[in-house]
Amino acid sequence: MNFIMKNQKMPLLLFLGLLLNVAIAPGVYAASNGDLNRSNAYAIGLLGIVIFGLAIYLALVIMQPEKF
Amino acid sequence: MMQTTPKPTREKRRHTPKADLSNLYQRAFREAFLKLDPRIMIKNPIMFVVLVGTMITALLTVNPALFGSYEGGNSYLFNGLVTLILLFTLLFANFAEAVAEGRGKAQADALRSTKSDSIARRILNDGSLENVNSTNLRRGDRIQVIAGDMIPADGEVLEGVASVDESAITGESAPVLKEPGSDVASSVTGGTRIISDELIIQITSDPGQGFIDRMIALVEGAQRSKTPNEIALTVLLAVLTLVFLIVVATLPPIANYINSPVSITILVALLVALIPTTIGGLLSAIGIAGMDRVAQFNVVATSGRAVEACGDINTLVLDKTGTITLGNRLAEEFIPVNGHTAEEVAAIALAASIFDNTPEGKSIVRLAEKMGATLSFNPETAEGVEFSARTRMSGTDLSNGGEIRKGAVDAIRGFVRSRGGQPPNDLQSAYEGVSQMGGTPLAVCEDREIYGVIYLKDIIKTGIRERFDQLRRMGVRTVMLTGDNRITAAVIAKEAGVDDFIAEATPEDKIQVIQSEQAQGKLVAMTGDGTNDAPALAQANVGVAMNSGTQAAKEAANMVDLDSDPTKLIDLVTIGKQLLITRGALTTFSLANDIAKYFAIIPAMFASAGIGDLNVMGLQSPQSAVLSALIYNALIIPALIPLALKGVKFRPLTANQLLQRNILIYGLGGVIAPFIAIKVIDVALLFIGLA
Repeated sequence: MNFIMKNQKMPLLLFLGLLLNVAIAPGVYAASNGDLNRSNAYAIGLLGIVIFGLAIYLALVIMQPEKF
Repeated sequence: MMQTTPKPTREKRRHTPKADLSNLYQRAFREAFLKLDPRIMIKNPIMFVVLVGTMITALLTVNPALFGSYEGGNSYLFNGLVTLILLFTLLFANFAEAVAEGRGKAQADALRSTKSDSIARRILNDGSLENVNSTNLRRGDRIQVIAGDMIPADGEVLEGVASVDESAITGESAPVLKEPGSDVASSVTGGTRIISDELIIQITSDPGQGFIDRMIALVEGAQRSKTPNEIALTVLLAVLTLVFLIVVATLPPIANYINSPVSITILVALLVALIPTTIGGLLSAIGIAGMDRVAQFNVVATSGRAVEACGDINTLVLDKTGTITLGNRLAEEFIPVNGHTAEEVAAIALAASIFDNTPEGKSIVRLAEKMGATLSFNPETAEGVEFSARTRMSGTDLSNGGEIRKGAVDAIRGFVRSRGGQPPNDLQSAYEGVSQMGGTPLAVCEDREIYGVIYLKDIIKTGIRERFDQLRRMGVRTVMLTGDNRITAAVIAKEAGVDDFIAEATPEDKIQVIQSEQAQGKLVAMTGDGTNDAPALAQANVGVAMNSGTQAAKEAANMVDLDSDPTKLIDLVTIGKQLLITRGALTTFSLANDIAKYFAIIPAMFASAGIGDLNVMGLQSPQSAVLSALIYNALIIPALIPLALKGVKFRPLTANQLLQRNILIYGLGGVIAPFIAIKVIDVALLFIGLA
């Protein structure tokens, strides 16, 4: 697991993001009152995760600017 | 002692890099694409957000209904255009950085070409010579170099006197004399060439740690780390980006609530338009260009931090000789005392100076000969007495036992008293008279009789007073250090326009001045070249060592001036301030741009919500408004590349005046310019049928 964490960070993050979206997308679909289809809901869920990831990334930049 | 020859003006000192810049833009163009790698982009928070936005709009170009908000028939084209514009925004920002880096790399290549492995003659413990590859030399090794050899590594001269061609690093073609035990000529640099005689050198750096190696690493940007100001600005820009990200991400529910849903493409466009992409794209280019400007002045900075610190300097500690005055003082007048005539003083001064080979000594001989003075003895039967810091006199011992001396007035007084004589009463008034004119008084005597005073005139460099006036207006205080007496120092300080001076200063006084200024919270810059300057150079916030100085001085300083011109410290302050002003001006411009972009996109987003009045620019359609704002956002980056690389023109104004000026030009200009530009682009889009 340590080997995977060190060398395959990006694919692992993507995989975890997709996994998280499995839980989020149904919620988006349920909240849309049928205006969206399942793939739209899945895409919006992923978009939400990307935006959340960007917010975390920017917070890290603010806290540790010398690393960027 | 500093180098004493007068130096050309600032513009003339700027030398054209020997680097090959022919393929700079082709290489930068290629680099701009390579830098799209997310692992590189993640180092630039603002442009990374733009990259993510570009990826999202690229997906929407392929499938406009991906998020369920299908915009109609032209969504493919609109999304594609937005993606293309965002991609160009990224490429332009990467291009700016690549051009700045490319100039540094070209300079590094030029330096690297001076380095080549060579065979060095290492001196073994038994005194025999061993041929070794220069890469096998270590600190402490002793080597012999003879005329024609490349000096294989940095070192200190132990034995020999030789001419060395340092043009490879300084660009100066005149050879430099190297000899041991001298503060100004004992260090040699690897990569330079000995052109006469031979030297025994002790190596002072291990392979890869030499002066040229450090220069290469610095100009290439390998050791470039963010400066404190860059870090502060990065935090500010990241905060703004985060705030705008949250604002844009929370807009869709509000838009849906007012029955004016917005597409993801327009939200991405709004986010990119609002975040400060202009400064985000140019920030690193500005920093790299600042280092490059310093390098163009033939100064090597150990870090961007040092260049930036130059811009924040409050106090400059300057040596008088070589910085404020031309190094060579010239004899101006002979002032007789004790009833003697000027001709008699000239004759004694000539006799005292006949063995003196310093520029001052030669000028005394010239003046005396001009007044018709001749020697009353055969120089071959006489013996010269060298000047020493202890006796503060020099002169001539005659074969008949006569002693002729010239030197500091106090020293000559003591000499005369020691021979049973009595200094004349009018000596003090002659001494004070010369000092009050800003000159250096030298008394001359023969045995126990003082004949008069030589007036050595210090020549203040042309334009130095204006430079100090400029520095004062910028809030920089100047302190002059001199070994002269207090009266002379006061006159020169007044003439040159320095704010303070320290007379009869010792090298130790430098560090005391620096420490006392720093204790008041000020940043101090100084120059130095001797080993005894090293502690002060290390203590100063900006220490500039002369390349002609010792290795210890160069290692203690955070900048090395390859031309060994102490006046350049003033230019460095200007370059540092220019760097800070450029960064501030472009940040102001970038943030001010937001207003126009906001008024272009917001009415387009909520067109159906009845806020058409906000379309103050009268843009043709929501699509053309978004495209116009984004095209402006992309084009402004390459438009500002020349300004980022060249720097905002420096004007010697106070901080308040500069702030007012920058707010007017880059603040107000940053608000007005995009209104006009976006409208022009909108009309152009209408003309080509994309509105």
